[in-house]
Amino acid sequence: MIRPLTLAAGLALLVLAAFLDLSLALRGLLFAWAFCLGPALGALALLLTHGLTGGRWGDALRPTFAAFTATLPWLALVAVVPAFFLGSLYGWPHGLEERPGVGTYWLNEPLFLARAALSLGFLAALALFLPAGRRAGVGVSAVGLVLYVVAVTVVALDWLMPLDPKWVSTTYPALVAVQTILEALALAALFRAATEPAVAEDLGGLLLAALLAVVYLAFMQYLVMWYSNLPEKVAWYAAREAGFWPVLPVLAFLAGGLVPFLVLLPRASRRDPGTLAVMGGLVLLGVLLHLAWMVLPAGPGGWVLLPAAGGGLLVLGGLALALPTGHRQREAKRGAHGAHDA
Amino acid sequence: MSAAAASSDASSSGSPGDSGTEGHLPPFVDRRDGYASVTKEVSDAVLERRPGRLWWLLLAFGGALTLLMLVSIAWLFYAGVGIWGVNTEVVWGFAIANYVWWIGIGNAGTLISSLLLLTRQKWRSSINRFAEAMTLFAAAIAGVFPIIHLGRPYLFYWLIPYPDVMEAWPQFKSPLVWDLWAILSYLIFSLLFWYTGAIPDFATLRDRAKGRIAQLAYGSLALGWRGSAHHWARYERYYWAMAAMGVPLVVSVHSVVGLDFAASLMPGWAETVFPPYFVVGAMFSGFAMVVTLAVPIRHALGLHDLITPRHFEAMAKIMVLGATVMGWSYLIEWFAAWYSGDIYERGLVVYEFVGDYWPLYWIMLFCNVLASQVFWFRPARYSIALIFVVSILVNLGMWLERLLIVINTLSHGFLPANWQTYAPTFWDVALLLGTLGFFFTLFLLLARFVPVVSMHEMRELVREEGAGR
Amino acid sequence: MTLLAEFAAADDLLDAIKRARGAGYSRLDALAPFAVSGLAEALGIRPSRLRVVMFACGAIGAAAGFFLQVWMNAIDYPLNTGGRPLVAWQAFMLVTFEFAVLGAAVGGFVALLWRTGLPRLHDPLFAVSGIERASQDRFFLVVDGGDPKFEPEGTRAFLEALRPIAVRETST
Repeated sequence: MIRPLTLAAGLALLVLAAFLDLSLALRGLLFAWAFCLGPALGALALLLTHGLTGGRWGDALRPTFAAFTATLPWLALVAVVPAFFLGSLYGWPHGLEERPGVGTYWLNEPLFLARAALSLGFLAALALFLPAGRRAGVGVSAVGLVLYVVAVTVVALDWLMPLDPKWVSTTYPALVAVQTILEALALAALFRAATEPAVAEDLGGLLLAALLAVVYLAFMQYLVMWYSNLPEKVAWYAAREAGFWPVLPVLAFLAGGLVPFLVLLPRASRRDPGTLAVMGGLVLLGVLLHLAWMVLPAGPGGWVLLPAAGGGLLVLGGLALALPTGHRQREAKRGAHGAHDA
Repeated sequence: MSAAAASSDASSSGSPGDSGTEGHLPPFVDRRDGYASVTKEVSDAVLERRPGRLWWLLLAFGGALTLLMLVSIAWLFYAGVGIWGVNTEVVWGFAIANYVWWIGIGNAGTLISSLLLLTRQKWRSSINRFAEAMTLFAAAIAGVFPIIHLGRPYLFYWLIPYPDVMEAWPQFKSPLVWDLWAILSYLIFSLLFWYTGAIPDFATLRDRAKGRIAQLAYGSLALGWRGSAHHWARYERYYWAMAAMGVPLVVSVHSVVGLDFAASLMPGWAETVFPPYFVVGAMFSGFAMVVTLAVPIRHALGLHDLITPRHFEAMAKIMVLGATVMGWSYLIEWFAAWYSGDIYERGLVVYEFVGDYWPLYWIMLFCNVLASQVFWFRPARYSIALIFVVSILVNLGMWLERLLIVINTLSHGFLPANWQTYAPTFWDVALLLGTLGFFFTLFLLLARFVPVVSMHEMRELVREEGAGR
Repeated sequence: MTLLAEFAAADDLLDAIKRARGAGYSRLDALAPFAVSGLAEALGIRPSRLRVVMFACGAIGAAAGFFLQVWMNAIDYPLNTGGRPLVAWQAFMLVTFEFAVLGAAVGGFVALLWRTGLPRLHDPLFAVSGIERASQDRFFLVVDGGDPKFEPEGTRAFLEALRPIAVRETST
């Protein structure tokens, strides 16, 4: 259910931020959008993977994941808002001067919009047409997964990486993509999507694996850049070491990484949906902080970022949550019905 | 006892990793097989069957190449690295390419075995044992290369921290020191993993052996294992925990190999994607090597009932997945070089396509990305001959990739005046062929003395598939 | 003396264990040629704490690895390499991780041997005829002679009633 008051407050915050500083407001909104899109993108990858591999986790969690992906078309439409202000958001053509051809053939408004329409449109279509009631076929899943990887790569390379002009990291798309999978799993755990201990154990195992993957990729990116210490590469980290920003990744690692890892290590706690829900919440918090740290400090800062990000989260999060819960209840009812019949 | 018991065995144990849609496919173990016949099929290959002429021929061939390896190393130690094709710019040649290739194969065995166990893939039992053995041999061979490529290989022990008279310690900020610890930990770990899994099978061999020497040897290796329920419970705890640790360990080990390159400043090397990309490459080439080994092993030891077309079908799917990820990684690499606007990065990518080594690059792209795409088609996945051929192409492609990573960047660095090309000498090739021969020799000996398929896990599978008799 | 009942199917063994425990036997063991799922639960074997040991060894390994590097590179032999800080935790993480895994793997293996009492190349059970099939295709229920409810004749009769392939005994 959408709470009108929450929406109104969020919108008010966004509008206020936009009046104060359009560029910062857009960046805050972009962060909120990326965070809210995460569960949908991650769930799509998980559904496609399950189509390939099978396994009881996917059969049990499909309704939840399908509910997440149902938000994808709506969130893809939200991208229209920043699309109107690409110049303010990314500061083009600044940062393109010394990169011959990049402005002409990649980072310009028409091409950006064309790629966005293609990639987000494809992802939204995939979310719409993937069957919610049964496991997708192996062929569809395989082809879908390949195209999905391409589309998500384009989304990460287009929307997030150019926030820091001249910065390029080849592992960044993978980091963004795996983090969405982690987010989807964490949210599923938070919603107690797995009620049976056996399914909960699978979900907990997947959560643990995705968590390790995100920590691994983030650390490797950091280690390589820290080690080579090249100016244009470490500039990304330098901007994120200023002020209070370093608090975010440390907090994200401790609360969203270390604690869930240690708690979920024994099998017994992975089998308990309650423990899993708490850990899912912590992981989700960690992803939120980490993503905020990845996106918000790009470029000049300012306190306007706070109302912008907060307002964006309220509006988009409220909208996104409204959809899955309704979906989920219907699915749950249908599931309960099925159990009675059997 | 009997059919009823057997079928209740089958129904009581669910098959979590599998879903009903694959029911029409042939099973991973022949339903007529019982515990006894599985045991007999695997252990007879070691205990009863005398090695045929082919085995001796192959052993002689492998032995000759092993000799070539020893001669190459001896000559290297005597004459120095000048006998190789390396020069002042291309300071890493075959040795480091071989190292990365071998350690990749060496990592894949544990990774495959662990991942398939953790994801409860039923077809694991037939291939995990020799995949793990492959790991041990390949990692041991890989470990030799960084040592012999040193100018003064007899001083390699300076990498080890010991209180010496110079009162100096190794520099732990160097990726080369990480290498030492990664490989060392990995060797010990994979030995423990492989050996623990093999203890119950050594017990089986001890109980079936007829000769006194074999009884003593396998009895000692079995450590007195008697299959007690208390022991099995602890064994399972340990084995699963090892599998769970194996995945991050392998990832870390091969990441360290990737960091040997990525921690530099060279164009094409200082890439953040290198650690994960090396891991994927290792998994891919290792999987290809498993397939390359599985075909002759299956044929020579008559394990047609245990390594079935379904196994090859599953492995073909993983190969096409790996090839696609490799293709995606190449695309990202090219795009990032162009997107960065850096003239050295861009120049390197152009050099890869049209520079001195362009034929190798195109062959590599064909082997690594295109060849496996044939497995999108179902008939191709059931053609063992085709899978075998493609697996060899992938092995070749991955070796070329490792070579090209080394020589392309070093031949095309920041100073155009220093650009030099690399050409291998006889001794480069001799050492590579020699290590290949050594690897196959070790494998032939393993297949002769150790069961290449995990018998106790096959029995578990027999029970799950409902043939427990 | 220890009595053994030999079965051909895992489910027969599980069934026999259930009935033996129902009859009040407490010092039971089973020999099986593979890890039969549900066997430990049937025998009431408490979950092993092996992984706690592994975790502790891993933690000790990690701490040892990290402080070894700090001590060598920052305290005993400080050397400025490329202007990097002496205690560069970023660069120390990988070796720390390898030490952790090494500690857990080796510690766990030692604990496994310790708790299973292996290596033990001679066991009275090995003298039982037909025991060699315990590692191949047969399942054995083992009733220890020290069981409070054990009495040579009565226990043998009880085991016979489970309809095994054979009832066997150790000589000692």
